[in-house]
Amino acid sequence: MRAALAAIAVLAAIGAAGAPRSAERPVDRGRTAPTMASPTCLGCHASFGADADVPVNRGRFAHAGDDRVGASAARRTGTPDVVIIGDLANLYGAVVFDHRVHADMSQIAGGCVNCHHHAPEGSPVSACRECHAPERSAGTPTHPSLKGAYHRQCLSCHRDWSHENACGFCHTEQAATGGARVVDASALAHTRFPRLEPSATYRYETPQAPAALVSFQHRDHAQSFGLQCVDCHRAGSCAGCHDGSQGPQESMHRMDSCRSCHAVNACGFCHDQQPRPPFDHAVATGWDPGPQHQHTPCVSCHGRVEAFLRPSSNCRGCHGGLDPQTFDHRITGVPLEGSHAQFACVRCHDASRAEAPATCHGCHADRSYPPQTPGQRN
Amino acid sequence: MSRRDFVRLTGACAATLAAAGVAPAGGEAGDLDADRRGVLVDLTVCIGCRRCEWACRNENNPPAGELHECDDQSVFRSRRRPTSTQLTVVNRSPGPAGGRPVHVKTQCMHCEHPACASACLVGAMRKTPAGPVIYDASRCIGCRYCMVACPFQYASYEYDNALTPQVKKCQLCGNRTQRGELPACVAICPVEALTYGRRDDLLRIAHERLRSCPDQYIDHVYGEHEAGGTSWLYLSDRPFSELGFPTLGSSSPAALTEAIQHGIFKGFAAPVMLFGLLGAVGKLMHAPKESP
Amino acid sequence: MNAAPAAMPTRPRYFTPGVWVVSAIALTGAAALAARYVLGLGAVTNLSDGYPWGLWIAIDVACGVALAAGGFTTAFIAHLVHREEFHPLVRPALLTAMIGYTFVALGVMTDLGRFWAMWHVMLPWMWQGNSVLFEVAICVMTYVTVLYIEFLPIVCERFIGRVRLPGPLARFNGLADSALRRLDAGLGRVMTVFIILGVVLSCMHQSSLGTLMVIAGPKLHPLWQTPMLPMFFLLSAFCVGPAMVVFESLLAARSFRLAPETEILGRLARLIPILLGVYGIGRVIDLLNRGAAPHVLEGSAASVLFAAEFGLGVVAPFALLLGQRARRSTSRLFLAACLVIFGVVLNRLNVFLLGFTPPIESAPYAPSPAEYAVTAGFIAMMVLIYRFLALNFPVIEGLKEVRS
Repeated sequence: MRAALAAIAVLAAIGAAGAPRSAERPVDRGRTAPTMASPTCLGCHASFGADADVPVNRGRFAHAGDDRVGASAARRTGTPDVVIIGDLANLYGAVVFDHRVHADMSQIAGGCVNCHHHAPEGSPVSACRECHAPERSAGTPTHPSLKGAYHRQCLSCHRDWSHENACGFCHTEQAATGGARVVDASALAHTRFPRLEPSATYRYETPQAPAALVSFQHRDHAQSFGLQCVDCHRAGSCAGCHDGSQGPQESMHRMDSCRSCHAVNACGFCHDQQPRPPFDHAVATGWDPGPQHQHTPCVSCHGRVEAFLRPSSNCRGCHGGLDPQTFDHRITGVPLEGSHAQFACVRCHDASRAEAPATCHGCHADRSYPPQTPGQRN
Repeated sequence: MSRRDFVRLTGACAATLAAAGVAPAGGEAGDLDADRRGVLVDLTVCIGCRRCEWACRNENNPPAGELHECDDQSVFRSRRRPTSTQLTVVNRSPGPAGGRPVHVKTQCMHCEHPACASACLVGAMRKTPAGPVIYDASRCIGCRYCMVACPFQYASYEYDNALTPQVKKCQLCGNRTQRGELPACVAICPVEALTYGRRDDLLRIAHERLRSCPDQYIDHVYGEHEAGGTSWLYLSDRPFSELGFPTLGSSSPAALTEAIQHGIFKGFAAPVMLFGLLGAVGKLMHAPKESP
Repeated sequence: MNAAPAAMPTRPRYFTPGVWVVSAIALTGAAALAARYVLGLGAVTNLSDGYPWGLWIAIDVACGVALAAGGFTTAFIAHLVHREEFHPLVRPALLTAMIGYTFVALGVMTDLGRFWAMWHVMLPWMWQGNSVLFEVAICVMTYVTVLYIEFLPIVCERFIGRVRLPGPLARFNGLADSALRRLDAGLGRVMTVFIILGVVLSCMHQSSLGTLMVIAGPKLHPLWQTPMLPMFFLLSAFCVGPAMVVFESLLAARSFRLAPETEILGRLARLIPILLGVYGIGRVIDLLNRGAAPHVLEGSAASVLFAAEFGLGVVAPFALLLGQRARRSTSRLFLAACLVIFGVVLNRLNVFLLGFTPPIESAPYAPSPAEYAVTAGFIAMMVLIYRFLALNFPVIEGLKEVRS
């Protein structure tokens, strides 16, 4: 049960990651039928199906507005964020389809071919209408019409987990909007499926007595360690996490997933008699990263997260090659102002111990400096 | 009574009843058009949106109400059957743990050799060569034997109409199909789980799907043989018996009764022979006493 | 069944306390009937799409036809086999059959949703020869006519020499009388044909009544669903015919305070175990042959109903009537007849109603009070009409003497 809850929670991270996105210019394929340069999935996502160690995949699950991992893959590659399906709209308005969410989520199971079923890996994505005629034809009873194809494509998944089959779930009623189509994608973000709120920590009772307890720090993994849902959750289904009525179905490949990063053989690395608290860098390693490193991804110091490399003790890995001429001190959270901007680094920082905080009392012996200067610390 | 009287009366009676014995049949399988139509339902595609119910009401029992009233899923809590104002209904069979539910649209199956047409004593139910089984209220006397005979019991009756009640069932939208349109339910189906076409084509398509996606379906086209074959055909990924489909043999219920009936009354031989036998018994048993 | 005085000095009155009770039942039934025609089937009955046939078809029609079988069985025995000793039983049985079939027709009409279209059955261009119900309908209609024709000699006998037309019509008394005499003579010449026709028609529709439910297929419980249903319906009609004659003769004798004709009825009752034996063995063979025998022991409601029908309605009267004693004792004879009737009635109920399960689960059917009222009312009306005709027409031997 707990495992199941954990499973739900993991995918919840995806929901949680999504903040309201800025409205982007949607592509109305129905009306303008823009020429899309038949991109292939593999053109962008070089590592489909492979281990998630290729940088471009990192962005797949970043929703707009989530600056944690920078710009999304979709934005970078020109894949449409939002596609408006309007070919057959008469009674109902066009569908505003959040392509990115679907593309991202599809990586947990199936991939692009879930929908682009005639675009297997490596082949160009063809438009639905190339095979599915707008009108239902008696001549090809084996082929659904465009409308049928769209509906099948959306509803064959959605009925499994959201149990929604009302027209209004996807369409806006023409009568309600006076014929105008609602194209504000921001209104759609995460309103249609339940937001999943993962717990910070999941505890598993295992049969490994006496150290039967495994405390899994979900929040640490999902936020601090920079992992994506799909890094652990594979071969899942929408319903597995989103369908409350069915009970949790999603199960992480637990041991396999852990071992793919934690190449340790000692049971005690995970198993314990006591519940373990969330990871605290100061407690666990004796070194407090302090507020300067609050937003520094683990990999910045430790290299590949899987390997857990011990960083060099003097931080030269990051701080050794700094060019005082080009270094923008603002990224430390301490913008330098006035005369401070002219100082050499060593004026404030100990050259041999870069991790030690800067001192002010070398100059301001009387401690006359105001607490907020030279910059407000985050 | 003279011998001539006897013969004359016998003949008259036999002729009257023989006329009944050779009255036109309700529709033999041989009368069916090779182009006869049917509908293929792919239950794995159906999403249970109940738009077909709305379209059917809109076509047969307007006003149909608001389309979004179909979104009410609470009706799935109980198993429904077609009624006189709702000729098709969708029922939900809950899936196995973790599986998705299956939605089954029910309506008159339009049998190839319909028991209702065989049962109707005034020919109010008729199998048209083009496929549909059609009800003609102008003939009906309201005995409801068609409903007793129907192996699916999908027909329903307007009990609340005191004077002119009718048997109500799907007519396969004869008005629409004559105009070249699809039946209302088929036309509205958003996922095109319903396919209207020649029954032969539908069977071919169904078997093609079974062949190409064997793990997506159970290997059975319901209605291909059930009750002697039906115009509505179903594909499913769950055994049909779990979905509320009656388990039926491959011959029409009408085949047996017609065999019995025509066996007894073939050429009216049996009744006439019985008549003659009884006459002989009467004469023979009487003779010894009469003869002085 | 107390032995009544051999001859009654006075004609029994029509109204007795019991008849008043029966009349009240008949009136209640008539009220329910009126409600049915004004408000419709839905308002009055509990019939549903799952159970399109209810109490009226099962009792008024199916049982009505079966229990009127006395008419053709006695006609066959007395008129065709010429067992003259049974002649006193023919007319009461004929009267029962005539009234019974009349009410079968009324029962059907009551159940028909479009009763005003009933005449469609008589239009040759609407005939549908595959329909079992068509055959039943035509046979029953013809047979009712035959029964009325068979009854005409009794009417003639009643009025010949006693035509008393009211008021100014009295001058036609002589004309009417001679017409009746000519009719009587003419009927006498052709009556054998009608009697034979009556037997043939009865055999046809008694059996076809069973074929009716064959088309229901698996909806009828396998204890009853068999292609042999027509044969069993015919055989059980043969059984219940004599039993019904015994039953009503003893009942009429008691009601009219006549001596029960136990001796002659006992002789008629000798037939019953033979017929029951054939019927019972046929049922058993059929059950075994179809592999439906295990259902007898399945402990369901159906198996209990079957046990009641077969044990009480077939085996018990068979055993009872096998011995000489039962056939000589009025009360035992009556009991045996009642058991046979019970068995056949329960059989018809089982086949038409209790053993029927719609393929889509529906709310179970229980007849409404109005349905009971109509059925009871019809039975009461039959009793009243029987009593009236028995008292006013030369039907029952014992009453003839009283009348004259």
